[in-house]
Amino acid sequence: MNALYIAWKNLVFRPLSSLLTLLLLAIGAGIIFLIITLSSQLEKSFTSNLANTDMVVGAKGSPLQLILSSLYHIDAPTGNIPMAEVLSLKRNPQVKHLSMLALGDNYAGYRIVGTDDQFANFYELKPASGSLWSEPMEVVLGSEAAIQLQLTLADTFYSIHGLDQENDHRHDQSAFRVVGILKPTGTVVDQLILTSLQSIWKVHESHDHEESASSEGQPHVHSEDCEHDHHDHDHEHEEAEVEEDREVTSALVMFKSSLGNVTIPRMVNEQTGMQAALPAIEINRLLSLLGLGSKLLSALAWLLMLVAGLSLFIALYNSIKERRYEMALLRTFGASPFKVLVLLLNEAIILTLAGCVLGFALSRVAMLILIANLPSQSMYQFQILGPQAEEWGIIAASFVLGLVAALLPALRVYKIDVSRTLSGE
Amino acid sequence: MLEARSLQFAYPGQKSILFPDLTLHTEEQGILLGQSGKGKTTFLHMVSGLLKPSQGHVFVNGIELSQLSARELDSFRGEQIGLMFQKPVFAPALSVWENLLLACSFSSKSPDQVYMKDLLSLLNLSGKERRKPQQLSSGEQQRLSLARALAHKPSLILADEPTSALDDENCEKVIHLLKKSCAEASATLLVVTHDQRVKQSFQRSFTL
Repeated sequence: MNALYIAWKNLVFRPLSSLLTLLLLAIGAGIIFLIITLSSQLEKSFTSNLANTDMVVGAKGSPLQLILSSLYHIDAPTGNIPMAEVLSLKRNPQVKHLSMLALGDNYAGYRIVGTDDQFANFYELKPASGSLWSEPMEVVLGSEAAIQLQLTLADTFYSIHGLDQENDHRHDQSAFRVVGILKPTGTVVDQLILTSLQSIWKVHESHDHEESASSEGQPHVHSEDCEHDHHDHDHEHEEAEVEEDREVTSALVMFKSSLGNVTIPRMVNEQTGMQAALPAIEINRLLSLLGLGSKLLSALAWLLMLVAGLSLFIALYNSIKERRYEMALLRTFGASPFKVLVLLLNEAIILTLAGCVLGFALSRVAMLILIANLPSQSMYQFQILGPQAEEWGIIAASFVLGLVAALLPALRVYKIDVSRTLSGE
Repeated sequence: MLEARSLQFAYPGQKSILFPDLTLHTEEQGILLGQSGKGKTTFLHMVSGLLKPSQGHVFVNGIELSQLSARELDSFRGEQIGLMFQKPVFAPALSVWENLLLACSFSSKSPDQVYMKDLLSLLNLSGKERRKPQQLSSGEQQRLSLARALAHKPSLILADEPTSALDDENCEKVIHLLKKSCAEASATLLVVTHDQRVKQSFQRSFTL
């Protein structure tokens, strides 16, 4: 009979106390595992979507909102900026690439992004079928959007104004036509519907007549429910309008060198009506805010683990008191104190490892539930991953915790006076 | 074979107890009689190496116990000595069969399972292998205690008051079984007791 089997039998013999310790360990470890996998995957989704973008310019407002809406497509845009200003920025020698975006419409919850041919410098745009857009009203679907919307080449659809699908304002004058579907990129592009800037302007021309237009050239703050059109422009001059009088929502900028990081944002913020936001800085700020929450949660989880360790300590302490006859007996069978100690430690090791495995399984089940409940057009692409390096570290740490918690009471076997214990004193 | 020579033991703050010399040759069966409180268990524990005598020597199979290191003593005991306690003590989490295996787990000899089966049937415990020890009657526990003392084929069996809780009929039975099974196992037997009923069953007897 090996020592692990004996330890296992002893654990099963005291099911309640073993189960309590096991559950405490599993819940504590599970929360820690969940936080680790969630925050690392969240961070990865955020950084993989940075897409070489050094700077985003848009209407004044919250820089974080600008980044979230233009890079991650999860918040409402801050408003509009005049295209003329963007084009003058594009001519700056520090600027390597600049791609303009026109946002604000969706189809069945998937955002339609009007952009120019520069967009391909920021994201990998390889058609899996069809081609990229060339004419107005032609769209290219991100891989995930194509699957979820069940659209194929040559299908047509009408966009809906605003960013959520519940809005009943449908642009039903002009239909979009699918001309291409992109290969998966693992970025937010997979969830988008891409088209030319002209398409977006065209869709909004017709109904601009129905809505009150804001004064020309002045960016207005985009309202929460997106009732207002941010691409509208003075319809009286529509015919005469050249492209440069148009407006866009924002622009992605890539600099020639890191020197641009220093000078351009400042120049934009001080000398133009636009706002410059640096994704790297804003995302760090966001992640550190999220990190604060996850730190608090992990502290709580470690506290739980500590309680689990304490419970292990108490359970073993009491059981050794109760089992000292048995321990003395083992000594008469020729077991050295060290062998009896190992026997007791095995119980703690089995519990701790089982707790870790159970906790790991719990964290993955929680992830499955999370994935199942996440809207499909979300930019977060969570996966069920095997144990990561950091998680192996946690397993090792809880192993040590269990061992220490068990070692203190188990060392008492060295103090058992075999003769006295057996003679019933 | 067992030899105890001029043993003394002193509990802290008490007068030394002097023990009589005692010699049992291989396969001999003897009895040590003494009133309660005279140090019977103390003697037994000294002889089995669980307690260090303050004076004197114990030889088991020609080896002096005090010459062995703590570790050597542990494994020597595990291989050569089978103990039967006054109060039956078992590992409650393990079955009857596993308790027998446990007694052999710490010696270098591998357990002889056929022999252990025979022991159980000799002691009328066949069919109870999967029970827990605490589910047995006290008579059965006593017999299991004996089976366990013999399970690893020790050369010396030391029994502490094996009959004190038994009526005359069962007393005779247990002593008969004890003698018979030790003879079959070719083990030397020393019974330590205050029970005068047992005296006539042994040729060699010593008194404290």
